[in-house]
Amino acid sequence: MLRFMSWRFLRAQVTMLFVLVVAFLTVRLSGEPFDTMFPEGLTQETAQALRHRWNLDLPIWEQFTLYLGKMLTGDFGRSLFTHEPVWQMYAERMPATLAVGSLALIIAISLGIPIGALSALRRGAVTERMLMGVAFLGYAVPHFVFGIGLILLFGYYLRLLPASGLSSPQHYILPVLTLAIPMVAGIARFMRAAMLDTIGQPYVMTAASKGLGNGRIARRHVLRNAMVPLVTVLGLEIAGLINGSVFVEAVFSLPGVGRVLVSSVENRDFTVLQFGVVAYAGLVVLINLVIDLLYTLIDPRVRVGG
Amino acid sequence: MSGSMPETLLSVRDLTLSFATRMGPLKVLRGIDLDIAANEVVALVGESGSGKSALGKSIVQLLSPPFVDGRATLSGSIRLHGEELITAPAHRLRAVRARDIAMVSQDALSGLNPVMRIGAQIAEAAQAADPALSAAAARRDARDMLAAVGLPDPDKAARDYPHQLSGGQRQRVMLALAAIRQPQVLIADEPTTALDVSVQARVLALLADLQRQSGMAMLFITHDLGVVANIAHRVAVMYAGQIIETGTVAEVFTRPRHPYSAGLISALPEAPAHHPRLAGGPPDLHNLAPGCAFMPRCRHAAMACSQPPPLKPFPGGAHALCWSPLS
Repeated sequence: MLRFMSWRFLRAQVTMLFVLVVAFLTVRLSGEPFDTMFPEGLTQETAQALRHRWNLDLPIWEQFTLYLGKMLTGDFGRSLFTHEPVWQMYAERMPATLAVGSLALIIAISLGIPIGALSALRRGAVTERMLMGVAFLGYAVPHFVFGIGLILLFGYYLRLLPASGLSSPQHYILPVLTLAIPMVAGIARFMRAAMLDTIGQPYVMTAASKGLGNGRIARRHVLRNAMVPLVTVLGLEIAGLINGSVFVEAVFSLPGVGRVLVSSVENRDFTVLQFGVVAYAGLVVLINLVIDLLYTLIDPRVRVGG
Repeated sequence: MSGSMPETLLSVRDLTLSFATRMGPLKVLRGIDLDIAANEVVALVGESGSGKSALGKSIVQLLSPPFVDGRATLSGSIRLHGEELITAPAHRLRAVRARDIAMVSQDALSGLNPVMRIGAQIAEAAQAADPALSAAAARRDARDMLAAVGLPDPDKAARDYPHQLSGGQRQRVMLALAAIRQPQVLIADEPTTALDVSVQARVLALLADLQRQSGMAMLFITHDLGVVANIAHRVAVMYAGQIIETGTVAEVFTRPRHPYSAGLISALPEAPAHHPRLAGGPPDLHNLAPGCAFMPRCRHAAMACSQPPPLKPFPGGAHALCWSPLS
């Protein structure tokens, strides 16, 4: 168990190192940082001095080790445009993203699991077929199409709900729905498949041969086993949620970290962008770690095995 | 056995089971008659596909998993102590499964819930059988039952998950799961098939012990005639969804009446050489011969065999479904 977790932890660190390298290089691949940072038409001497001042005259691998050292000591630099500390720019926008994201996640889990489970237990019923048809649609349509559709319907034609900003509780409804609906669909579809697979297992027959009622069989024998593979899918869904939040924050003009990231791309604000990429990747890696930990709690086979 | 006339505990009459398939209804059981008395062990033998497992599942009416619409149609009569089970309501059937007729399947390796502790799975069966039983008492009984089925460290086994036990231990747990309910009938469906040969003998011995101690009746389903003599009182031989011969173990083994039983017995390593060996394979249930289903493989087939064969009685209580039984 301890070995299992320390192995996973080591792997997470290797992944992060890789992400740091890729973030560092891709940002520099899009052009010389110097041209972004300073105006044109400087004298040779001034340019040289500035290059030296910002360590841009060093070989790229030395620049990288400097950057790595700063990252590891918590010095994430300042924005090239606003000169705010990068860390602070993201931290200020975090609450909005977290609020919308976690609301969407809560809705997705609390609707997706029961819809999927019930549709598996009542297979063949008309309501089940309709639910799965809708779920398929929700799964297939991307966030930005959904978001724009919802804005058009509720914000423009019906004028029921605000479609931009986060200044009142009503403002949360459309962005949260946009993020949640594909997740509800994804979780419900997966849960249904996992339940159907579990129902066919011999231990479910054993449970039935004990004379247990269907409710008890569903809860204690089918549901618990179907939840095991669902945990992995939840990890993927949350990673998808992080991606989706970037789109949704852009579409609904939310004051979240996704906006910071998108505008840093537009402005070629590479310190901000670099940190954003690393932070998003770090979040996904962290979620994977948490999922692995959850696995050991849910599935006894992992607990003792690895 | 005690008493002059053993009381019939479970009585199956004209039981028919068919599955709806694309090629039309598939008749898996075709008019089964079978009686099991209290304290009696009946071995149900036959090739795979003969319907022996389907008969076991039909008795507890567990032909498809819960939440799945079965394509099975069951008709005829199954009586336990005279109570008809075919038409019994669902809650009554659940009570019968929980208390009266337990079933042990061949899936020892996958028959236990992987995410539930062994002790809890057995305690669950105990509480299903006796809803008045407290959780603590059920746990204690489960632990005692694990000791009774011969697990070396029952306290640890109760806390274990299935993957922590060996195959033989898991099959012992399956037996514990059934025995803790103190059922009147145990249906053991190939309970040792999934196990190593060395483990099989010990699990069989345990099963025989449990049966003798509790006095429960048992329907022992197997394709392995070799183990039948050690455990059963009577044998019923199945072929193509019918019981084609019944009789005491001694009777059927020394003097099989149906050519098919004779062929099965001659396939045993210790068999006397004078019976002809079986030729051909199991019949296609979609295309059975109109009369005797065994006719295409039978060395004694005659004109009459194209008509449904009669059930002929023999001295000693044996019966054979055959036009020209061996003598």
